[in-house]
Amino acid sequence: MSRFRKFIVGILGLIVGLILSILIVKMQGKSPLEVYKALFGYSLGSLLSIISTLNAATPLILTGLSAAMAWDAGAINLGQPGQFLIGAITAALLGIYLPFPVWISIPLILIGAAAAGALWSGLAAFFRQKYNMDEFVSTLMLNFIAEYFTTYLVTYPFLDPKAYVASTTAIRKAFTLATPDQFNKGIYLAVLVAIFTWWIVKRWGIGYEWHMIGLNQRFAAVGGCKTERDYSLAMLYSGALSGLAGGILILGGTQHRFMKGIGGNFGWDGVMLAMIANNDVIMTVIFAFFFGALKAGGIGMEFDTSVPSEFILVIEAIIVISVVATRATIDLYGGKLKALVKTRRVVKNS
Amino acid sequence: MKKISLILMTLLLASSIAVFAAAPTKIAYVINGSLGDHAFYDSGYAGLMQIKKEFGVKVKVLECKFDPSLYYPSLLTAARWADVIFVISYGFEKELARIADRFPKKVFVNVDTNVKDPKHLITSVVFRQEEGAFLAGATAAITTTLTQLPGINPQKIIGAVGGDDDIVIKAFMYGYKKGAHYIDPATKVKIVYIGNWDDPAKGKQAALQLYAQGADVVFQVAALAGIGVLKAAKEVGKYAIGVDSNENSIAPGHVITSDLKEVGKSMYKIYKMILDGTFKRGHLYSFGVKEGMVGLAIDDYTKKILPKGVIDRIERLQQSIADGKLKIEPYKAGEDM
Repeated sequence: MSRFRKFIVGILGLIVGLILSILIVKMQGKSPLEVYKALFGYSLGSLLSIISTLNAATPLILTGLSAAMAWDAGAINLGQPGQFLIGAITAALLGIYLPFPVWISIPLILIGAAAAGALWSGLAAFFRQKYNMDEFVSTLMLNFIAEYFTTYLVTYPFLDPKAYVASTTAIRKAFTLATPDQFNKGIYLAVLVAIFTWWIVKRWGIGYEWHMIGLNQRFAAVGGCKTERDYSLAMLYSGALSGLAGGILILGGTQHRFMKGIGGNFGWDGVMLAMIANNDVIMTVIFAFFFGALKAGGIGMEFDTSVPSEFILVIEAIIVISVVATRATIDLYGGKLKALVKTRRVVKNS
Repeated sequence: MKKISLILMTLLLASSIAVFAAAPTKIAYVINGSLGDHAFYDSGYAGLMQIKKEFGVKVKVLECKFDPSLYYPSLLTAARWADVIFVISYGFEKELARIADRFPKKVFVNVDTNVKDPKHLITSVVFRQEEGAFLAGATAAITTTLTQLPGINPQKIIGAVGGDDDIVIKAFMYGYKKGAHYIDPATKVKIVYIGNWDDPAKGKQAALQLYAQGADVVFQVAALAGIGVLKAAKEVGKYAIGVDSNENSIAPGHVITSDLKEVGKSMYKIYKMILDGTFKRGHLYSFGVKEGMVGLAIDDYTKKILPKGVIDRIERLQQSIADGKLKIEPYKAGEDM
């Protein structure tokens, strides 16, 4: 599908989703106009709002790409939440204990977080290669292990005894990537990584092989792709992206420490993003910003209109469904139309 | 003529002061969890509603639903709008200090924990929960010996279910144990932390385990998750003690009493202090049994379960804490129980 058509499908799906959301708001007896006004005002209406949006989008870009890259290569990695947490706890611990100067520590922390995420997805890849375990199941289950393992770590061995909740102490102040306005400078890195990912997909052999394997593994193998190796690499890269998202959240988010529940919904939102974007890198990034705006605006929407911010999850879900449905519809009827036109031409010429 | 101008001057002055000291009209309540727990957060909300009713102020609630990514933006949103911000800041104490620094004119009242900032802009309200938990422990220890009640076994075992293994909950457990051992040092206290605040199924599971291990009374300190403890008591015909709000009516006949922590009442009191000018910014307010902010909810539900003599004994105990005759040492972080 051409990029332009993909874009149009995405926008159409979005519009359908927003119209459906209007109906739902109306059914609740609230004013859709006010809801959207609040959503817009608190996501893009002022500098602080824009910062909120960008901050919310930063981890989403990476978790979204993580899901997209794995799926594009036919590896069903659903372990984003777990890989995110493992990356985050690694970053937090390195941030507390690394004794080196800033210029070397920050890269080390981020590499460490990415490596930890890759290790977590690598486990699933290893199980698949060695024992033929479906990664669909193993990545999902590893999420639980990651969640409880990190909770254990911050409740007992690395607990900050002065904290009122289960959390580590804060990382060294010099390592934080946030401005005084709490703008997460990690977004630059996230965008750079997105560009790098796009470059891999478009220009590198491995990116092409991933895509081919994703389309048809057997055919790709016949064509000379090293499917086993490529699969493992895709899983590792996907895990590294999620781990990096966790690391950036620790360094650049508002907490600067690992606490119970810090993973929030970033992992699953990433999964949704990849679904909407149909595993396309650029679309994933665009939708990540859009979801970030929804997340930031949701708080204000609840505040101004007392429509609960959970409604944002409803909107997100509706958008996912409508984008996917729109895409399928256009593919189906578009394909039929194309076939019709072609047949006509052939008939006319004969 | 002079007199009139003097009066005019005074009036002018008075009105200008009134403008500066205008009563705050917008109040926000930012909580780390969610409303609907019948306990902690709801108690604060009830207090807020009372303020709203009595003074006609505008009130808004921001629930963070235990999602750390919402803490900072929610607090920021509240700070931009409200004059007085009541915060339950578990997990975002540092963010609170940062935001208070940005909005130095707003009044930040942090409830239930002590948050200090360098400029002393944040006012904290803490509760001496050890005192209420002590009474709960004493009640439980007495109840487990009342074998004439249905469901009470001869073993002297009582239990408690905590939300998270954190400082405030540990203080509860510390007081609970102290109270139980004050009544009878041979009482065994079993504690389970479920690591959750909003899943009643987990609370119920933990309570069923404790009852199976021989506990007769289980004290819940787990907000909404603790509602499961009360339901478990009803299911197995044993007893439970509620927390924060009066939960005696949730499982009638099985919830002996509730260890009140009057979050709402304290917020109401603070608001009144702001109005009459006695409020001190940056001060640490400590509320306990003496101030009527902590204590047991003894009502008709209690009287249907416990004999009068026992209730009198518990009330005497509560009175001696209020009078200061019985002192309960505060829990120190890191102290072993």
